[in-house]
Amino acid sequence: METARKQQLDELCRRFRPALLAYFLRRVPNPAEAEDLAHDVFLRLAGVPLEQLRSADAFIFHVAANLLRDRARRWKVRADYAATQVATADAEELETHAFDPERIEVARRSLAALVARLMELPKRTREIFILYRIENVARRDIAQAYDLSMSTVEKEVARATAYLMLHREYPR
Amino acid sequence: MTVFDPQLPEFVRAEEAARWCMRLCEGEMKSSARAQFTRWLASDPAHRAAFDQAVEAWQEVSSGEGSSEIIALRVAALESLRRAQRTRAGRRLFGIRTRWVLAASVVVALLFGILAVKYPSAQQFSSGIGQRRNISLADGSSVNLDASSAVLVRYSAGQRTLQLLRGRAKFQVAKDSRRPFLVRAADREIVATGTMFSVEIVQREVQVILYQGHVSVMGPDRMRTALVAGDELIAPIALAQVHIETANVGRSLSWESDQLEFVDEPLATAVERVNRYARTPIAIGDAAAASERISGVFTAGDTRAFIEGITAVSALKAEERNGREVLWITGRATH
Repeated sequence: METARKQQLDELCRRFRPALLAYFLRRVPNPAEAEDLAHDVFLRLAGVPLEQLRSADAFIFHVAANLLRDRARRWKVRADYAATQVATADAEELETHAFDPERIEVARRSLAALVARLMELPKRTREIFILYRIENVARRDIAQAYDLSMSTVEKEVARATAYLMLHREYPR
Repeated sequence: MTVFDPQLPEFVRAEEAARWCMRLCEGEMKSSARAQFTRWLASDPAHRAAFDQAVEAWQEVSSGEGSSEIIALRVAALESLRRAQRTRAGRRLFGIRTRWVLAASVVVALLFGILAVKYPSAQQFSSGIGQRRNISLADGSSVNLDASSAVLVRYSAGQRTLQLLRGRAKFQVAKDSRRPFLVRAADREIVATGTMFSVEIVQREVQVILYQGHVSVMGPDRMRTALVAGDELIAPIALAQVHIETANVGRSLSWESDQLEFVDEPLATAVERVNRYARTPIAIGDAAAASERISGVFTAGDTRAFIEGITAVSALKAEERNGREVLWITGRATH
């Protein structure tokens, strides 16, 4: 049971750590504090029932928003109203946007574009990227299976990511 | 579109950002690496933008991972990994890592299950508050789910069975004369071959609207009622009686474009539909208010506008109680 939990946590950490960090970096001035906050999210998850972890995507960002709110409250005590308002507004914005039907529609349309871009990648690059990013296969396991060096795998993943980044269509 | 050129400085920067994402994913970084990351972020505003973009690209991929198109790519990738590992196992009899060989086979089997034309067991699709979903089924049929709705899909060699568990759905049925398409909703069964129709459970009634083709609806007494295009069948749950009227086709489909349109509709029905999009549902104060008839066109999700709109033109008033808006008939005490 405990190994199942640890595995689940590792996987979540792997899936969401960069996103959480980016989320906090946009909202707190200091990168070190952003990293601490991202770390705190995972500490809080350690106490959460395993079942809830399995549907964690929305939950993680809920925890993140709460952390920001707590942080904002501490700041309020210090009478820094401006910061409070920014942080609280952000936390609220995050909670509402999952419900926005327009966003869901945009997401649906951009899926077709995403698939098209993935198909433009060389086959091996695409496979390695999907194994790493979606299937969470460790870099070492990918390297061993395909008889590649660890740094070649890194290069392939970075290359695929860069391609997706630069060929991204921005709706609206 | 950008030209794919690995020499471009923005491409190099994007790759750097991606590498940081990977490092962040692969467990705790040493403090020296953390410091390096912080320095990299601070050294150029473009670095931070690139990092954001990398995260967005990754999240975009994650959010699509359950769609059938991406699942097809995942199956291909996992099969490729399995083949590579098998070849490798052939090269080196001992000391191979079997963990991923096994795990990959399990995941491939699972994913194939989802992709298969015959769903091995029932699959449930549901939509949350304010969220609509379009589901493409393996046979080419599709289901458009209204907000706060759920449907269970079970396909077998001889039959396509779906059960509307709650809310509303529109079905676009691919023709397959050997496998009837059957939708159950409460105690009604709708049978179609190739057609388009919607089914809704609202206020203890099953409402069926037929847009194209033919369907027949069977009630709890096993009696069948055949519908023609443009018919709307209203069947109270647990009663054998049915009522057929001519549907307003355009209006009945407005929910698919985020419009909720009511013409002389009981408030209870209208509120149930509005609440599918409302994070804080509206309540109805009493039976008199529930049966009040209302009309109007409203944007799904804009509960505020709905309340203001109907209270402005009817005998209804809104009151806030325990954080919820409650609708009452005005002036009741005076009569």
